[in-house]
Amino acid sequence: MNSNLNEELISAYFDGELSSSEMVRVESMISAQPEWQAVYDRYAEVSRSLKESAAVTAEHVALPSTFLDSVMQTISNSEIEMSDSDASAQTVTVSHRSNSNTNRFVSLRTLIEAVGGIAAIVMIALLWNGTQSDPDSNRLADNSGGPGTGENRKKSDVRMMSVDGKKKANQKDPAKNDPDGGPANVDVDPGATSREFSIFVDQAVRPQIDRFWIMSNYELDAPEKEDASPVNVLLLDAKRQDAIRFLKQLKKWDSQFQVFQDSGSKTNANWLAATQIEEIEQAEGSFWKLRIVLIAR
Amino acid sequence: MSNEDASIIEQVLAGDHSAFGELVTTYQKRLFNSLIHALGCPEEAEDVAQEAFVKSFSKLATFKQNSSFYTWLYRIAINIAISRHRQKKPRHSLDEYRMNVGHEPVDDSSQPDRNLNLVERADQVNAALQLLSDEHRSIIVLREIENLDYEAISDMLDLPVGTVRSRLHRARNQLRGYLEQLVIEK
Repeated sequence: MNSNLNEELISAYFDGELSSSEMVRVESMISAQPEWQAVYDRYAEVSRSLKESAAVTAEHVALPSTFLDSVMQTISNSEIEMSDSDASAQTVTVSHRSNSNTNRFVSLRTLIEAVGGIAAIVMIALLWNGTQSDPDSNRLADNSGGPGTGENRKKSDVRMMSVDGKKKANQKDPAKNDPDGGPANVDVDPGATSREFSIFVDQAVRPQIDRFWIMSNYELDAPEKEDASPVNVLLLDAKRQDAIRFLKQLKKWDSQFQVFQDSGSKTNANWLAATQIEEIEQAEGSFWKLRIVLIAR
Repeated sequence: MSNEDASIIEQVLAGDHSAFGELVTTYQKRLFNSLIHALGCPEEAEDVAQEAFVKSFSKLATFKQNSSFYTWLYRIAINIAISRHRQKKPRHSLDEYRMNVGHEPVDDSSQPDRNLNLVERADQVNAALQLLSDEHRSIIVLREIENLDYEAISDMLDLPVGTVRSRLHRARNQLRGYLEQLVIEK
C-alpha cells in the first residue's frame, strides 16, 4: 500500500477517526511493522507539542481585562454614529442591528474604507456550487446550489444573477428571486463586448466582502472591436486558485469566457472590470451585491 | 447551540444589547487563544477577536442558529484574519506581548528554567505554525487547539471529511519538519 496513505491512516487512527475495519487494518499494520508505530509516535509528539504550547500560551498570555469593555464600547459607538447618520442621510441608513422587516441600503463608501482605502477595488465573490448554464440560449442561470456551511451546505452562499451584456444593468429584483427555484435567466447579448453580472453573497456565510478576490482594474474604456471576441479575464490576486476556479465556473455559464492565469505581466491584461458593492438587507437575510463588468479589450 | 446562548441571542435581538457582553465573556478567551495560534501574534489575535465579536453583533440577526454560536463566531474571525492587510511589522513573541500589555511575569521561582523553557518552546511551536500555509495552519489549530473532530472541522471549513483527514495529515508532517528545523537552528 502507498506509504503516504498508510501514514494518513495512522494520522486518522491517532485522532480516533477511523472506521472499525480501518482501525483493525491499522492495528495489524502496526503490530506487523514497528516502523508504523514510530509514525504514530511522531504524530503523538506533534500533537503533544501543540497542546503544550496552547496550555503555556493560555497560562502566560491573556486578553487585557479591558477587552470586554472595548468590544461593548465599539458596539455602542457604532450605534451612536448610525443614529446620527440616519437623521441626515437621504437614502442610506446604516445600523448594526439588522431589522429583517425593513429594507435598507448601505453606502458603498463604508465598505471601501473598511478594506483599506484602495482606490479601485474590484472584488469577486465566489464559492458556489451546482451552477447550471443553458448553453443553448447562452443564458446565465441562477445558482441555487453551492457550498453553504453546515446544515446549509446544499444551499448556495452565492446567488448568481445575470444581467444582460449591455452596459446598463437590467437587474431583476433580488427579493423576488427564488434562491431554491429555477434560474433567473436574462439574455446575454452574444455580440456584446461587455458582460455585466450581479452576484449576491449571503453575509451569514461571507461576513466580510474583502475576504474575496481582487481583480485588477486598470481602465474602463470600452473597447472598439468589430467582432464579438471572447472576453478574457486576467486575475491578479493572491487567492488566484480560488478565482481561477470561479472563472472556470463562469466559463460554464458563458462559453465565450476564456480564463488566463496570471502571467505576472500587465501587458497581458486584456480585460477590464469594475465592480460596485452594496450591502442589501432583505426579508430573507443580508447579502452583498457585487456588480461585475467584464469588458473585452 | 446551547440553550443559554440561544436565550442570550434572543435577548440581544429583542433590544438588550448589553446581554451580548455575556457571549463575549463566555468565548473571548477561547477565541483569543485559538487565534494566537492561527495568527502567530497575540496583538493581531486580540484585534481580530475584537473585530469578530463586533461583526457577529452587527450580523446577529442573520445567524441562522444551525451551528453553535462559537462555530459561527470562529468562522467570522477566520475570515477577518485571512482578509486583513498584514502590516509589515515584526511579530511579537509571547514574551514581548506579555511585557507590552503589562502582564506580570509568572513567578515560578522554584523552577525558573522550566518556565523559560516552556515559553521558549511555545514560541518555537508558534513560529513553526506560522510557516504552514493558511489551510494547513487553520486545520491543525482546529484539531489540536480547538479539539474539534473531523466532522466539526469539515463543517467549520466547509471541506469534505476526506479532505480534512488528508490535509491534517500533511499539515502534521510539515509542522513536524519545521519543528525539527527550528530546534536544529537553535
